[in-house]
Amino acid sequence: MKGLLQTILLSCLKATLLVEKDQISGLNPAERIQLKVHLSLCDGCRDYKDQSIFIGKSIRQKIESGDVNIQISKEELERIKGQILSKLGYIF
Amino acid sequence: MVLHNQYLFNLIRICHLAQSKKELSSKIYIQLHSSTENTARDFYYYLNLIQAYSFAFIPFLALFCVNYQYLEAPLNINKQQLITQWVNAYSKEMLQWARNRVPQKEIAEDLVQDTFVVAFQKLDSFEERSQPKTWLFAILKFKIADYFRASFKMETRPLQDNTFFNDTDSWNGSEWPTKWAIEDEGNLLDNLDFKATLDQCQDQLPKGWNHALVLKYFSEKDANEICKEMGITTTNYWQMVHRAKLQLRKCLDFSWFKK
Repeated sequence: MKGLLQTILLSCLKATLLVEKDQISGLNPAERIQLKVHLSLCDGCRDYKDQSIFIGKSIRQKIESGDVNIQISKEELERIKGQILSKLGYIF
Repeated sequence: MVLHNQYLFNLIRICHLAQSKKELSSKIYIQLHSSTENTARDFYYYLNLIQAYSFAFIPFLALFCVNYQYLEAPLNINKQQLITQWVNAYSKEMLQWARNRVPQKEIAEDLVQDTFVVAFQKLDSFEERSQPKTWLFAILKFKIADYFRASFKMETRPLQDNTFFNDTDSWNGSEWPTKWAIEDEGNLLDNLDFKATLDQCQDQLPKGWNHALVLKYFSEKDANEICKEMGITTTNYWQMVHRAKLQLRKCLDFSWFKK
């Protein structure tokens, strides 16, 4: 079965690459059909697709929740400002 | 009217030399020396005034401008004050912004620092019309893009060579993905332990790959624009993301879902 998938359809390597391409820039119709058929036959790549999308979601979530969460304490800010000014001091 | 600073500085010198403009030039002189309340806006107001005033005289007044040295020092002091003011006013916001866009906080700090250094060096090209904040953020954006570009260039780890697939490009025995038991996705995404695990796994990735992966979520740009900015091809970009995801998937599988 595996051999058939690779020769007639896509290899798992190619299929997973297309899974990523799909999420980044989209697939052309031929690629979409090829991937669909491959995924309908290969449970490993199907799981990979779900997990890949999940990883993307969690990275997005992490970044977006960070957007409001980033707090810089007063001391830290003063330290960084000091660093910036002392670096500028060399140039002045 | 967009004025180049160097041009303006020459004008002050010209005015200072020309006796008829003595009053105005002394005002500028005071402006340059005055310490705290001196804002860029006032500074440019005076410069504009002079520019308008002495425009007709420039061609021949320039001939008299021989010795400017006494004006150079005050101008430099003024630049320092301006930058220091900006550091105090904008560095917090810039830091927060950078930290949301760069994976490590130390790098965000470095980039903000570099931004101010560049701002000081390029202060002559800062135009009175634009807001300092906009200008600083434009430099910061450029610095961040620069940083990512460099990290992609430095990433030499081959994309093709991997152990996830066998010679027939099928999943290598133990690499075959199995289902993850996710009960409540939203809950898991908010789970701090999970986030920490994800962080750890991302840190294990080669830098360039991790950047390829996160870049998509950092900017609103589409992949083509990102690739153009980063100087890599789209194919190269999604191959990099593919490799990063494979490795990240394995790491999460091992350290979270199969634990």
